[in-house]
Amino acid sequence: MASTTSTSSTTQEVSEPRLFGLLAEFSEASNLISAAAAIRDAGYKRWDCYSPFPVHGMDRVMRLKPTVLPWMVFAGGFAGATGALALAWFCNAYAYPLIFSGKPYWSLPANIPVAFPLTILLASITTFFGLWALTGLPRPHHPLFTSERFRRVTDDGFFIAIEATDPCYHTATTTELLRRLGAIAVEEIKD
Amino acid sequence: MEHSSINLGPREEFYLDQAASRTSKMALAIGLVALAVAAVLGFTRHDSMRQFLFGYLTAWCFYFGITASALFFVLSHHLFRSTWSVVLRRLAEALACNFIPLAIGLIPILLGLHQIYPWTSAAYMHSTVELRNKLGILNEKFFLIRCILYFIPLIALSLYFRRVSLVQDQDGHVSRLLALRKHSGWGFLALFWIINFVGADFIMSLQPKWLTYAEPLFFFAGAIMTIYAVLPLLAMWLQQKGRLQNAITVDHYHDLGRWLFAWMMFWIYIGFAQYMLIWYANIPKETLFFLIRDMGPWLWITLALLFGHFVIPFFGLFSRRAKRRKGLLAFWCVWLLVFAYLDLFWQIMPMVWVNTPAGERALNHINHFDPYHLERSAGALAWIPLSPEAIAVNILCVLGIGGLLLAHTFYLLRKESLVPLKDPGLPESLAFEDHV
Repeated sequence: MASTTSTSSTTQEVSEPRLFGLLAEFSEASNLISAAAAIRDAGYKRWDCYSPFPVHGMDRVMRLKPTVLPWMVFAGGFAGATGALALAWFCNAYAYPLIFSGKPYWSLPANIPVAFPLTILLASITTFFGLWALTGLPRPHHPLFTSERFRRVTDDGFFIAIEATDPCYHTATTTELLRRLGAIAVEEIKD
Repeated sequence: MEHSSINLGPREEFYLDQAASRTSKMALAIGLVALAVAAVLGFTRHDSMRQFLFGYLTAWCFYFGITASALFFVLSHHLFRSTWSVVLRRLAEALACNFIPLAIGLIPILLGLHQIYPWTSAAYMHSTVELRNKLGILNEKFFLIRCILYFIPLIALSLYFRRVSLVQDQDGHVSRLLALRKHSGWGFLALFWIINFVGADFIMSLQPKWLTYAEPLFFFAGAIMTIYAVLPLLAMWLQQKGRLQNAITVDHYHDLGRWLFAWMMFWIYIGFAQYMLIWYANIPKETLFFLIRDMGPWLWITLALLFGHFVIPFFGLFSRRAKRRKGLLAFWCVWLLVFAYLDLFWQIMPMVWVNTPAGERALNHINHFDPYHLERSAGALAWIPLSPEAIAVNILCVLGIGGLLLAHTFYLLRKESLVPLKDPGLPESLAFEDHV
């Protein structure tokens, strides 16, 4: 192992921050909407809007695709229902048949109470962790946190960030576009 | 709240004016004719009007459910300080006032009490110790007193909540809204208990021998669902007439659809809980109810309810799209209203044959754990409430009472604004948008 080279390359990564993209601040929510529409029309793909509260109509303007989470939840709930019924059947009717109060070994009504909570349990667990997976949580750090200005996003700041990995991204022209759309400040984010 | 942000459009968009009177008159005519034909058809059956009275009772309970759930909508709106439903509240307020015609509509039921309820017969009630012990509750005098006790608060609440809301249209005082919120608490509790007691008195007491856990709550669950099917249909009708075009949006329909779905789930939850506990305990006094509905044609109605009131609409109403597309939502609203009626039909109509001497004799087999002979002796009897004329009487009763109540609703809506104009929550309701 060439230990010296690997060490030097690590220090190089730390000393030279990677470019994340451009952060633009807008003065109010309506400007954010019109700017988002223009950025969408300009063909950008990897960008996002940040605001202190949900802005009505933003989903439509950004052309956000519906989430696949409901399908994951459905699969979770289905697995819970069938799993519970299969387990009850295997235990009570197949592996070790027992007679309880003169009821048949296997019967649907008796096992619905088991299937019901397990459906809910697996569906809610899928919802919880599915949401984490789809939103990329847990994420202790985000490049935008390096910006002093961005702190106001939880108070009164409206922002759009365009990532450098976007095929349309070009520092000069993108900055120019954001300024034209009414950004009161544009800064380069490095992390 | 800034009133400049209210954009209701021109005045014609939120007043019905002539259209209300026209619809009201038409509904009145249809209602009167349908009820008259039902009564004549019932008379020609020579069963001392039993079929007519049972059909009438079923339709009355169905519309009691819709009216009670309209009041439920108004009271829960105030109790939870909702703003999304402000634009729908005036319609629910008018529907809730149908308690007045419903109280008048009690007269045929009270006159036919002896034909409908077996507990009106002294000989029947003294036949067993258990029945004798129920005489304190199941007697005509106390039944009448209870009817009065139910309808006084119901009528008072519905009139008060509509009146104060209309006064606020004039003066715009926020104190009106605060008064309504103050009274919504006890009103909500009173309404809950009254619906449960109506379920016990009008439906469960049809079988005085029956013991159960959840029948009144089952009636409550089925009843409350109906307003969330009626309001979208009424709103769509109004929008087709050019009213409330901007006020009611797809987001309001979406939320009504969600409530419809939720109450449908509550119905099967309570219905299944009752069924499973009775199935598991397997005591004749309790299984009586399901045994009767297990025989011959009634098994198919039971299964139709399971699938039509739960399984099929569960998948049909599940997706976001189904609740946001008007045509689809309207389809499921009509579907669930039909099955809400079938639910009451299933609870009430078998009593047409059960509460007869022949039915009583047939059911004696239950006490001997003899379902085979029960099926044999009762099989033909079970068809009585399902003959074509009998079903025609039922349908005519639904049209009849429905027509009269619709006439009353539109009579109330003829002059007032279709939305509460000076409610502080109106701008928020108009701008309501659904993010989920």
